[in-house]
Order: sequence, then structure tokens, then C-alpha cells
Amino acid sequence: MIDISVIGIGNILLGDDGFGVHFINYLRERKSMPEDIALIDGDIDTFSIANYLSESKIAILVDACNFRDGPPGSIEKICVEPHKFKAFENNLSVHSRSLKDAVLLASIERDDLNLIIYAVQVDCVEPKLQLSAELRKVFPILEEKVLTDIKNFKKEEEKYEQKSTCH
Amino acid sequence: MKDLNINVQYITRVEGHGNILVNAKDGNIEKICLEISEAPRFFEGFMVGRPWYEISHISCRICGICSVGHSTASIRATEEAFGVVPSEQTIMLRKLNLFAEFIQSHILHLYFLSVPDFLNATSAFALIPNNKEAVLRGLKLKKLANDFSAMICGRHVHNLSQVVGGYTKIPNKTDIENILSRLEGALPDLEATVELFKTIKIPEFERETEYISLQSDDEYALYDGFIYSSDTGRHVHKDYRSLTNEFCVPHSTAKHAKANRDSYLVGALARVNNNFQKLSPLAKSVASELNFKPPVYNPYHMNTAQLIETAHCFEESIKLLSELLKKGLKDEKPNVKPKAGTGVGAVEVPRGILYHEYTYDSEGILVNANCVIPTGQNLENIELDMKKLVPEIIDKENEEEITKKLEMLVRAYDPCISCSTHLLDVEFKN
Repeated sequence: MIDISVIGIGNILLGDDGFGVHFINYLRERKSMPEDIALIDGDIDTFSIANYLSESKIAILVDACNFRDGPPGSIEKICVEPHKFKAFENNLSVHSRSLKDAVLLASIERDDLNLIIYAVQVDCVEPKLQLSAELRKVFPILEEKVLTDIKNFKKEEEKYEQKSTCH
Repeated sequence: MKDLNINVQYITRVEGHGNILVNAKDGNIEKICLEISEAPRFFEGFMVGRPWYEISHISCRICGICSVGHSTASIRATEEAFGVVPSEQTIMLRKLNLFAEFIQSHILHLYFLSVPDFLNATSAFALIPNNKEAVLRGLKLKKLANDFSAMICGRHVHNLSQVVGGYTKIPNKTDIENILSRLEGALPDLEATVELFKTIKIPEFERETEYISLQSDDEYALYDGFIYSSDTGRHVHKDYRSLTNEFCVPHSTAKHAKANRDSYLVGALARVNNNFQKLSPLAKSVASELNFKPPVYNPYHMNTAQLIETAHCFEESIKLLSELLKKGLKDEKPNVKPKAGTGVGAVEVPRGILYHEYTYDSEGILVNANCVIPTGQNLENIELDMKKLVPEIIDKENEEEITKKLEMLVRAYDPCISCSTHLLDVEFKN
């Protein structure tokens, strides 16, 4: 079991859709995360993402998103309650499975998933390997947010451990 | 006499998008077809002009499920064109790669795409309230197969280390021991899967057809062998075009194929029918438990054949991994010199026999490519099954039941529709 993982997902062949994966590569290069944090290139395979989620005590997931009304690069933080997730009535095909399905699959294995999703508004999703300029600017901002989350998680864990020892 | 107007857009729980259309008036069938509406992928077109060392990495992107199979067929075609002979260790690793992929793919199909039909659920998620244990078992086996694949070739989808001439990185002893132990530990899960399938009622239907697969004197052929037709026997792999005869139909962006009859079947059922004696002891005992006695002419038993093959791949993987540990792994560097030539790679992938044919120039630049995908080979056979099935049940079952049986029939073939969509020959006229 991994304590805390940061999982970036997306298709790097589709421009900004690959934001999550590019962000993981950025963090790896920067070496700014504590050593015990798992940095995972989650790609786009639902079953694998479900495995990464169920194997992490705390998962911070980064994905590209289209809110339709947000400016490119805007960040939404979503704290997930997996039991509220509902799979599509019809799973059109293996190719059409979604992040919702991954979370639901993971929650079958573990009913205590602890998951935060950072969704970043895309600018351009089309066949190309590069991120748009607006999204590249987001890396340091998101890095700071993720670091803060990790610090908070660790503080809470320490408090919990201290309480356990006292009892 | 009944009217039927079935229009399933799209069939759920398959890979890619296909539609079932059936029209009947006063009991007379007017139209039955499996429409394939996915856009062609043009892989053969955009591989041309690329250097030899990129080809397997591009072609494995044809499929996210059979990526190892595409990579293997691609590498074998290139090796044949260049006259490269892989080492014994490389061949062992490639066979393990295929075993891992077969387990991955068959488990995905059996637990998450096919089983819901038999347990009257709309999806694997709908199974959770009453069959959570089975869904968890499916997830566990799928994860094991993913990790097995990643151990051999770097990652479980779109593998990295399998290349022309060998492997850029070989697995280490600890990782092999870990996967071996997990495979052995998962045998009770395999037994539980067989128990689950014993409770499942496969629809009664038969249509004998031509069954085509690889065949070998030495083993249950997945990696290598002759092309074997149940009608005409063995053929060398280079003759694959005379056994595929691809053709276009108006309602499909995927080509159809035929060999010696109007259609033929590839995949688990063809392999098990053609090569039953070469299956491992565990696979044969699973077949016996499920009362599967080849030749079986019921296409719904593709599911049963997949489970039999899963058992085979488990047992053979355990055997081969133990052998690798005993022999020890050597760090071999691939040594490849490109030259002008043509090669064909014929490999079994979960959905059937797969062919890649490449021609290279003297610099190792690809000048021509042809890929024949299993699902494309099965499409004509599926339609002929549908055309036999509907008249048999039209007066006995209602439209909903007929629709479900047709969907289950298509699903039994485990079609990978996106992979099968193929470059169409288009002629523009002024």
C-alpha cells in the first residue's frame, strides 16, 4: 500500500488532454516532492487507474477537464466521495470507460478511498504532443497546491499517530 | 408471422462501436447486418516512410488490449524481412508476453463484458450488489495479468522493451519470482471462475464453419506455426492472403474476409477446436468440467474456449517462468542490421490470428505495410451466424429476447471493432 500518490492522467497524443501526465513529468524533473510520494503516470487505462487508486491510502489525481465556462488553466479542486459516483447506465465500450468508472471500480475494492481531484481547464484538445502555453503556466501553481495538500495530510497523520500512542 | 425492427446503436460492452440491424416483415427477413461505423485508422498508411525501429512501437498502438500481439506480429515481420533470428531466451519472453496478454484480455472479456449477460445485469457494475466477490476476483486477476505483462515488457499497455532482435531490458529474478508466486496463488481464483461458468447457461445454437488458427507440432500454437484451416489443413504463413481474401461491404468501415467458404472463424474457439490435444493438462480438465468436447460449433462457446485458454496460459506461464529461473537470464543486446526485404508475422492474439506484412528498402525504411486484424476476419462469420440464428428464433422469442441473443452473439466473438477498421481502397473519379 502506498501512503500518498500523485496520479496524472490523460492522453499525451491529444494536446492539453495529456496535462496530468505532463504535470507528473514536471514534478519528476523538479524533484520537489517528498521522496516517499509516489508520482504515477496514470495514462488512460481505467483498470490501471482503479488499481493505483485502490493501492493508495491517499490519492491526488490530476486530470484535464472542460468546464466550458472557465478560462484555460483554471484549476478546480474536487474532494471525492466515491459512494456518490454512479457509473454510466450503459458502458458503451471498453474505449468509453471514464474516470468515474475507475473511481467506482476502486471503491469496490476499498470503501475508504481518500481522493482529491485537481481538474484543469483545457485550451486545445487536438492531435499534437505539446501543451498549450496557458496550461504550461499552471505547473508551479498546481505544484504548490499539491505540496500544501501533502503537508496537511502528513500533519493529520502525525496528529492521529500521537493520539493513538496516548490511548 | 412476426415483424422485427431491431436497431441496436451501439452494441454495448465490446471494444469500439458497431450496430445490429434486423428488419423482418411477416416473418420474412429483409435485412440482417452488423454495421461498423468507426472511422478507418490508416495505420498502414502512416507507418510507411518510418524507420524499422519505430514500426513495432507505432503498430502496437492499433490496440490497447492486444498491443503485445501487434508488437509481436510486427517484430516478427521485420525480423523475417531482415533475416534476424531471435535467441531462445527472447522467444521464451515473447511467449510469456503473449500468455500475459491472453490472461489480461480473456479475463476482461469474461468478467466485465460477457458475464453480465449471463447473470442478467446491464454491466459489471450492476453485478456488485449480488456478485461483488466475482467482480473483485475479476479485478484481482486482471491486475495480476497487467503486472505480469509489465514485468516482461516494461508496461502492460503499449510495451516498451520488446523490440526487433530481442529486449532492451530483461526482467530481474525477484520480479519473476514475485509474479510466479502470484500466479500460483491465484489458481484458486481460476477454479472459482470455472465454478462460476459452470452455473452459466450458454444459448443453444450451432453453425459449423471453417476454423482458422495457427498450429504447431510442438505446442499449443500462439507465437509460431503453420496457418491451419479446418477445411484445407496446413499452409505456410506467407500464404496468408489466400486465406484471408479481404473484401469491402457497404455497411462496414472494416473489411470482411473469407477463405474456402463464405466465411471463417478465428479466435479462442478456432484455436481450441483445431489444437485441443496441445492444451495443457489444466486446460483440458477445465474443458472437461465445462463439458466442452471439440469440435464445438456453437459460437457462444467462444466464452468457454477463452476460459480454457486462460487456464492454459496460467499453467504454461508457471512452467515457463520456473524454467527461466532455473536457466537464469542473460543480458542480450539486440543486434539488427536492416536490409531490403519483405516479411510476414503471423501471431495468435486473444481475438484470433493476426498478420502483419512489411516491405523495407535497403535503409530499413518501411515502403509497404498490410495488417489483417482478427475482428475483421470474423465479421462475415458473425453476420452469417446472425442470418442463421434469427429465422430459428423469430417465432419462438420476442423482440427483446432476440435482440439480447444477437448482442450476446456479437459479444461472444469479443470483437475489437476500433482495431478492425481498416484502410479502405478509395478511388476518386473526376
